[in-house]
Amino acid sequence: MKLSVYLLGASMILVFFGTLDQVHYGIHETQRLYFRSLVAFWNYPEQWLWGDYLKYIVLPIPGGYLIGPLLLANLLCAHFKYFRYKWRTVGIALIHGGIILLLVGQFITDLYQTDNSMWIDEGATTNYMESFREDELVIIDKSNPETDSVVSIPTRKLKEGAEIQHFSLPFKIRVIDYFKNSTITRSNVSRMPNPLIANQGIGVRMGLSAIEKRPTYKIDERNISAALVELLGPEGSMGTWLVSNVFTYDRFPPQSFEYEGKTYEVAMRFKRTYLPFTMTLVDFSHDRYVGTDIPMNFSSDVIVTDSDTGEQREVLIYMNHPLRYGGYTFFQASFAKGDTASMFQVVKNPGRLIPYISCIAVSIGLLYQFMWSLVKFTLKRRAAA
Amino acid sequence: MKKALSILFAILFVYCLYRAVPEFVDEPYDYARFGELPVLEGGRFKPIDSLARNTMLILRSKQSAIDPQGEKVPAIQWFAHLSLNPESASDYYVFRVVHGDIQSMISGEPFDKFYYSYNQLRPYASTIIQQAQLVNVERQQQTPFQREIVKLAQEIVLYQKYSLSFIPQNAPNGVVNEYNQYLAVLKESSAILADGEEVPDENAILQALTEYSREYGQLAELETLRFVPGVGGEGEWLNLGESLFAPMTVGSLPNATIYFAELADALIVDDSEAFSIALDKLEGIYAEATDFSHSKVNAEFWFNHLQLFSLSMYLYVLGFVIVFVAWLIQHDKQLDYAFWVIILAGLIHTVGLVARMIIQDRPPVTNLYSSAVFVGWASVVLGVIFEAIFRRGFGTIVSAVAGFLSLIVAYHLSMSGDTLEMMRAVLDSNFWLATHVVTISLGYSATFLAGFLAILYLILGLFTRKLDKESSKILDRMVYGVICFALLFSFVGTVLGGIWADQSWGRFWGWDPKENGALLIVIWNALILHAKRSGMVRSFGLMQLTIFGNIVTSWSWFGTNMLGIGLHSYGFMDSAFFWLLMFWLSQLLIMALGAWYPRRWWLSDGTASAKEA
Repeated sequence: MKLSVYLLGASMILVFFGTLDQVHYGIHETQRLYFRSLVAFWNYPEQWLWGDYLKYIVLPIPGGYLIGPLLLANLLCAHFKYFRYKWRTVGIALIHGGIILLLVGQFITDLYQTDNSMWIDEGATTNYMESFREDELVIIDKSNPETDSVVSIPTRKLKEGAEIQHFSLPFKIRVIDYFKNSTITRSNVSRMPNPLIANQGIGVRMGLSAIEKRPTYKIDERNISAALVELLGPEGSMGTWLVSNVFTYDRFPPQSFEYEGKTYEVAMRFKRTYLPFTMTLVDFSHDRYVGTDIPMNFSSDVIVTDSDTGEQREVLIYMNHPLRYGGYTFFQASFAKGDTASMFQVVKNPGRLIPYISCIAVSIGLLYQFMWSLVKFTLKRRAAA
Repeated sequence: MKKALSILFAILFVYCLYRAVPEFVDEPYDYARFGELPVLEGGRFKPIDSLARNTMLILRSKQSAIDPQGEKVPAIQWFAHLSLNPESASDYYVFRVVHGDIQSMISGEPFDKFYYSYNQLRPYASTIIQQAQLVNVERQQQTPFQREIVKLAQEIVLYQKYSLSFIPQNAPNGVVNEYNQYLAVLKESSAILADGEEVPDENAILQALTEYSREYGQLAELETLRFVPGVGGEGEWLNLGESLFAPMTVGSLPNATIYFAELADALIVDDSEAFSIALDKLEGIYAEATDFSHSKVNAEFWFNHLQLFSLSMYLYVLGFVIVFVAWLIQHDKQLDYAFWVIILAGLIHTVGLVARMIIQDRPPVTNLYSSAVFVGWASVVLGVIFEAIFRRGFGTIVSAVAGFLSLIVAYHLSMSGDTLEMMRAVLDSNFWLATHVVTISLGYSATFLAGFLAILYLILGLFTRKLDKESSKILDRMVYGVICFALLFSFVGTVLGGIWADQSWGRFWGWDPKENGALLIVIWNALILHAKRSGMVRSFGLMQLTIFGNIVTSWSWFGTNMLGIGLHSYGFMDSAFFWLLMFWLSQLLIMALGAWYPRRWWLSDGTASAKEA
């Protein structure tokens, strides 16, 4: 029991510093650094009082993956060793059981939850969603007029000098360099350190090149990733292309090229995940309070079409009322293009019911214990009076 | 002696009632009735009185204005002048300027160190606005000078906007005359345009028409209050500019526009009778409008006027004083008085809370301001319950402190403007507001209550002989019970928050600062219970841990909101952040005092034995 006090204390520290550092690293990076690690290190921020002297202070903070399992073990041990079932302690057992379930559930969520976005213009239909943070390098084979075939390479494989070979491509891809965040510019960068300058595609036609920039962790900013890739056929280099996730098709032409009579496209884009069904946006509406710009409600009227089951239905997605379909949950998240395009956040979490169950258990347990004490207390007082 | 005291308390009680309940000033002009008229602003219907008070809070951080003679007057009086006869309002001292650099730029002398009139600022208005436009960094990185100049510029714009609420700017011969002239120009020019008839001064008339439509067009585009009901009691309410274009579509000016012009003319020529007559007509118009709730607007007017929260604040202080004196002279009869005073204060607090709920049609907590009101209220109720059980004055004194502090905090939070504002889309769910937000606020209340009880324990133990064995035991049990209660509510509240987040954002838990804050409270309360149950701490340790709970809760409640504002930028101290730090410091000091103060110097021995036991 003493151990659990220390563990609880440790988790206080973790949560507190994990919150403080969000100012510097943003939510997602902090989660990785603190809650999904064994040990985290907290630096005294330079901006604080006497930061110039105190910035060397570094505190090791026990991470979420250290405290979580320890708490779990502690709880389980306590139960098997000390616990005797009595009416008085049923609540406690419920509380502890619920907490165990909660910890496990959080772990499952950490491992399996996916979180993507889906943009649809009014009248358009989409069958894929895009990642909020990750990008992918794709080579698209356009030769078949019916369907494109896409080879996707995740950015973690894009290391400087790496060579990538795929059985459906008749050439190899060599990564000359890859920047997680960059500035795309028209100006002359040849004197800058380590610029990405292509000899094919957009880079040449529009005179664009890229230089490296520190990655951002701000929640409302996205890294502009960029890579310079060289395609290598059997007879040698076919040229180098500059790709970046800002070269979207609505603002830039596709970078296509011919090889052995086939047309290919090379691009860096937000990582896509395809869904087994399609969504069509019929109408997006944005209501405001009368005479102001304060939003009152956002809603999207969509049609879900599932070609496997032949199901087709129309639903209204709005604030606090998401659509749950096929294991995915669609939330109204954003809008653009003068209220004619709508963005959904698409979440898949196989463990999403676990917290509900565990929380109900804990709440009942707490209530039980509380009522038990209360009743005992009143009885005692009545006896005393 | 004791009788004298009781009489003294009775006198103080009456004085509190007298001080806190404001009366209508007997003016020749019926400003109060003007304040009762409804307008549509910020997405909801409210009495003009609310608008006046909220504007004054933004400009001057007070609900009253200072007239040119340096007298305190109701905000509505100033607002009537500003919106009906702007020139006559420009000598009221309504702008609060604190920064030395800005003060030194303005040549006039401020009233009471900080307050300037519009006339004093006018020569610098364009400079101020220009300077504010130069500030292009985020709020976190602004220097105090930049922050104040931006605020001042916004205030000047707001002031100018409201000076064009009910009447247009150029009306040298009275507003009614101006409208007649405008209507005449409209009639003649439509004749010209329709038949091409020969009219003398054709060009001059068309020129005038262009002038009018330019000026009124600008007015129509202002995002300002709307006071003209739609035609036939239906349709959208119009603002001044839009209503001035009505003659082109329906052939005549809306009545409301005309009557406000009469109101303005009455004020300009100083005719209080005409003012009242115009008010009668306006009341007639609004009585017919059906698209808003008359009773809510009325209720809001009275709610503003009665200032229930300040009344209960006075009573909390009185209750505190009575308990203190009762302990000092060891006279338990006085404790009963204190108890009743606190109950009365709590009742008034409750009426205020319920009134807000009815006006807003929402659960009690909708923003930071209302959370302060509610958290205080819940602590008071809990404290009163304890007092009803134990009758030792502990519950009363803690209720008094919690009620008073929370209302003070609420008062300072109200500076940002309309506290009954409409809710953002994300939060628009009465169900979740009622369940999640209310339970989590109850958790805050309970943790604070426990913390204050613990402070009481230490203070009594250190400096008085009151903390005998029995008192010590009672306080110990109280604190323990409240912590259990706090754990229950903060956990359930946090979980409900998680469920809401899962429903609307797709994740149960996102480690976001506010969520983490709530989690901290849960963990801390759990830690206290485990420490106590396992025997790691006894009464004294329990109290120390519980006092720290105050820090944890205030962090979660306010600190997390200041993250990024308070902690991000170097050398920056928001005043709210300053007070939060002070609060933490005070709690730490109390804890340190308790820990360091040698046990044998304690005046009460109850704790010592509790410690050994």
